Amino acid sequence: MNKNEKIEALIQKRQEVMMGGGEKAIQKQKESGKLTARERIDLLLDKGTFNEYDLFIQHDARDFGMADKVLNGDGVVIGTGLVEGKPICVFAQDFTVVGGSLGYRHAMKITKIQDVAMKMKVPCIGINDSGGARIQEGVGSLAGYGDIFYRNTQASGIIPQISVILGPCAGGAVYSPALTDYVFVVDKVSKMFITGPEVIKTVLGEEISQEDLGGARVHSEITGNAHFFAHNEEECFKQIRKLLSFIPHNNIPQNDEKTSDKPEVNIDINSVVPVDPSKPYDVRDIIKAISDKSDFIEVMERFAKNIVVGFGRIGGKTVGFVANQPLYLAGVLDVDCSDKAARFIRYCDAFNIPIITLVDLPGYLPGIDQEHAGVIRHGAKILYSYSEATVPKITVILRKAYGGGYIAMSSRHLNADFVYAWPTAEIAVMGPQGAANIIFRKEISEAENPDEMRKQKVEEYKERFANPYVAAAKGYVDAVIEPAETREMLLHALLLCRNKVVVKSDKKHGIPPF
Amino acid sequence: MNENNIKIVIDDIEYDTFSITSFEKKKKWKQPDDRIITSIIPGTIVEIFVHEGNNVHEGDSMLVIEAMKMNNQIKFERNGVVDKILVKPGDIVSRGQQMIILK
Repeated sequence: MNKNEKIEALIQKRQEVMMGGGEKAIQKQKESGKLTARERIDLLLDKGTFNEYDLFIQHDARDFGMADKVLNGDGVVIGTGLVEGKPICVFAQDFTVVGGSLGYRHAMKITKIQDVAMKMKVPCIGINDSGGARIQEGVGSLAGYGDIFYRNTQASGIIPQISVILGPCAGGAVYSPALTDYVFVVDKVSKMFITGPEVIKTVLGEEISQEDLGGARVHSEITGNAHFFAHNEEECFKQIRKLLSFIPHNNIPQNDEKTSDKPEVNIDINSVVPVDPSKPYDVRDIIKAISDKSDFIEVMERFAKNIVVGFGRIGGKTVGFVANQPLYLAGVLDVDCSDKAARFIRYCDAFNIPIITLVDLPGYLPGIDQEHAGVIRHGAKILYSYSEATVPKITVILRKAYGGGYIAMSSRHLNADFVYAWPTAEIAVMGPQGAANIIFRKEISEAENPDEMRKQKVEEYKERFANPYVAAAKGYVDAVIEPAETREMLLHALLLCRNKVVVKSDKKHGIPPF
Repeated sequence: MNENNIKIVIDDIEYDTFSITSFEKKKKWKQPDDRIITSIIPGTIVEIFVHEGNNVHEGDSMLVIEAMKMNNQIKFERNGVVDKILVKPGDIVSRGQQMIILK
């Protein structure tokens, strides 16, 4: 072979391997409504920026007649590329090659790209589409999973890790996504569970479809395992690219920021919040009214909707919003929304993202189911994560801030840097009705007309305590501001917080309530 | 998705708001009754060690149920007198099905 022939041979060899499981298997993949591994990588990355590694890897299995089998790429594609000009690492399991099953070399390719991501401090995106462990490789494939889980955990809080579920992801395989920061799912395509419908039927005699057991909607709305829901793969990769444009690409403090743009939505911020604390509104309107370009990406939009978390920018710099949502369940704190908010707060803290908290909540959700589900332990996570966070913490109390909910929502007492309140704020130990009923129980029950007396006492209590000025008088609120002043106040506070110094304690790590 | 208009009452204030999926799916709590012994797992009854009217003590063997390819021996968790036996060997029981009632 001369030089040109050798180059020609390489090109041909490449083309062969890049066909994965072959035309028939690719056809089948398409028929099941899925894209191929390489098509997915193309959707994720800037055009033509993908560099692939370990294309010619060979699998390890020697038993059960596997030795002579050729598995192209060993069922996974790994490499690096650019998203909006910034480098990232990616792996994509190739379902066309023996169902994307995970053997030892397959896992080694994944851990190799994880190691590159860690060393270069760039995000790692994993596209999952696999039938699970390659049984023929026995304990070798278990070793592979373990090696991946270990690296997921080591990388946590250092680089963003994103999992995309685009096919089955069952058994032990679910734990890599579960250990990463964000899980993306696509309707009708994603399936995640520890034990599938067959096992459940055999063991428990209960029949359920894959979709109903662990489909995209289940994980987005009920379990909280998934953070982003898309209707198709194209939308999913657009969401990932958008998220990557908001979040820092590693935990090294940096000052890269976009230009500061004014909010775009035409919302009169003074008129969004009804004065009557029992009336709902969409808190996302407030977020949009104070964010650059009104651009906001919501995390876990479909789960525990009584709290809103997500990223926006203020003055060109990314901030994390945590906001009670009066539109759903009156914005109460409960088990699910505590988990959701606490993890988001810890994410922001790990990646140096300032946290803006918007407060309007009646307190914790009463109920036997909540108590038995462990609302004490789960609710404590919010207190823990706010108290622990050392990033700039700025709080705006929009309306109700009653009782334990007031303390939990990044109050001054949990070491918020700045606490502002709108004139509509009601910062009190509980709502006026409840408080008056307790404090004036005797007067009310002994009155000639108890209902009249109750009404009068509630009014009295409202007048005196349902406002921001009692807390402001004690210095728990730094400033009572007009709603329209909010963005300017936040811009200024964020500027001040730029050089925030926090003395680190020498503890190894805390023991947060799990 | 459930987008039902609901009211939530906290500290005597009634809040106007919308429901969410997980809130709709919450399980209703029931007062536990330790006289009623239900199957914790679906399976097949293999053997029953007691008869109606028997005096039983905590730790006594009650029955064997085959489930998940295992013969599981179920024991009484409290003292009592067997009032009713609702299953017999060979019966297939589902999860939560009543098997024995104590007096």
